[in-house]
Amino acid sequence: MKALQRLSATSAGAAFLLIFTGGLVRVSGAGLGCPDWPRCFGRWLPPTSIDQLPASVDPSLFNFTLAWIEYGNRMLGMILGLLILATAIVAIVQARNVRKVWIAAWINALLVAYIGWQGGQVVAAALEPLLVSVHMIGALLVASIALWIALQVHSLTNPSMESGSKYPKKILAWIGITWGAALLQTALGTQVRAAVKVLVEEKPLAGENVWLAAVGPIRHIHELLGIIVAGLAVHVAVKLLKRSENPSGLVVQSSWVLAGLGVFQVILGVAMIAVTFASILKLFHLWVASLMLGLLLLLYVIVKQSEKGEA
Amino acid sequence: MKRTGFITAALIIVLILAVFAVLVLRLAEKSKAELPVYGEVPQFTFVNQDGEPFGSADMIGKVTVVDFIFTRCKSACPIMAREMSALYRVFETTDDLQFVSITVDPGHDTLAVLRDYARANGVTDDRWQFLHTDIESVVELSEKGFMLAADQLPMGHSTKFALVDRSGKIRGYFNAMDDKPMAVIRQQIVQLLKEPWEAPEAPPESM
Repeated sequence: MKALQRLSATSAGAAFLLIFTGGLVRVSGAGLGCPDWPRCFGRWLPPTSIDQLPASVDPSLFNFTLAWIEYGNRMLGMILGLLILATAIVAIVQARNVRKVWIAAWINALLVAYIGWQGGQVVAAALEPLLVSVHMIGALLVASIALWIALQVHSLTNPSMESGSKYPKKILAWIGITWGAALLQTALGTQVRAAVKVLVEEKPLAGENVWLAAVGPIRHIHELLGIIVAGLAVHVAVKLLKRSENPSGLVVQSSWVLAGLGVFQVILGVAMIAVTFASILKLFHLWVASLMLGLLLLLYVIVKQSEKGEA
Repeated sequence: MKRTGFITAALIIVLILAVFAVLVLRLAEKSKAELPVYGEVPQFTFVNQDGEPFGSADMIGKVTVVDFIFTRCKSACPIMAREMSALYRVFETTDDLQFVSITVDPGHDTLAVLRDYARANGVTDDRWQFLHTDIESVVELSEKGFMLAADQLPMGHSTKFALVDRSGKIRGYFNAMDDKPMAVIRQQIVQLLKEPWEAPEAPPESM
């Protein structure tokens, strides 16, 4: 079971890292850094000079830095795919009796392959906003399943982890509501981004303030829901920290980080509206949202398991 | 202690990722700002659809998108015109960007035909010029000036847009038949519009 534990935990970590690098591709404008897929300018490694481009490709499409940013994300995606496939294979061997684990592992292996292929469709469609959103949500789903598998394996190898822990009543409902609101908030965020992209294409010289002002009511809903989600996250964390009896170290640490991320996300949002729409802020805004979703899933699974243990 | 260690480790990871991301973003911005130079537009003077002279001198000080078309063309040119028209519309707020379409079928594309073609493509101001000259001059400008194919005209013209900076240097080629180059040309136009440029000093007047 040790191999499965390590593989599943590494897969989950790599999946959240891939969401970060995917966001980096988007905010750096490297989405078309490799205009073909799976190769890059017809090569398995991006060209290092313009002379290596195929005759059919416009040299103006070639930017060494952007090609490597995009290709780096693809390579990390390939590594994640192999990790998830390895998890699925090892799960069949080491967790044959735990059906839900190996079935989830194989579903994730298929899903990560689909999301990888779908990334190629995003490039082929010249970064069509809806396809970009599907790619991001798909990556989030892969990361969530990988995390769920890692937690299941962790509880199998540490059956006494939550023994003696008692968590507040209705906390599962609060975690569920917060997770749902955070997921809706992420979906709204992708819509805001898509709307801004359309505006950038329609009015490329207008500037950030004009683009944001023209996004419409969805932007204000996103801002309001952002504050609500942060408030809910802090509420869940405080409830777990103050009202739990003998909570496990994992729950305590995750609660602190969740509360911290909730506050950090509001600070990022305010900075983006009031100070600058800098790429680094956009990147962390997206990544923190995915980390919060992951932490809420983690807390839900652990609390649920402790309730099962009590029963 | 354990909690502090976990949170410190998380903060260190976030800090490393933040530093990495800032470096990558800086490299990306720098690379996007450094567009290569493919050549220089040679001196030429043709006439526009209104019969007024227009040439390389009129390109100095403005970013220009140039293509070679003919109005009877039924395959590539309607797509090229649609893409050029889209750029003409989305950049309507600036006079620092202009569009130049040069006919490769001067026998058919008289000034009156070019004026009709301009109207049909929604041209309402002088930001988009349609140029006319003799076929030999067109071939020379296309092949030697812009390094774009001009075999068996009018059919054999290039389907690429050439992007020219304010000092008359060619900074990019973009195939109008493909969505991806058409997405990238918008970014590179914005980049060239931001590029600092100083007007060349006028030669001293002779006494």
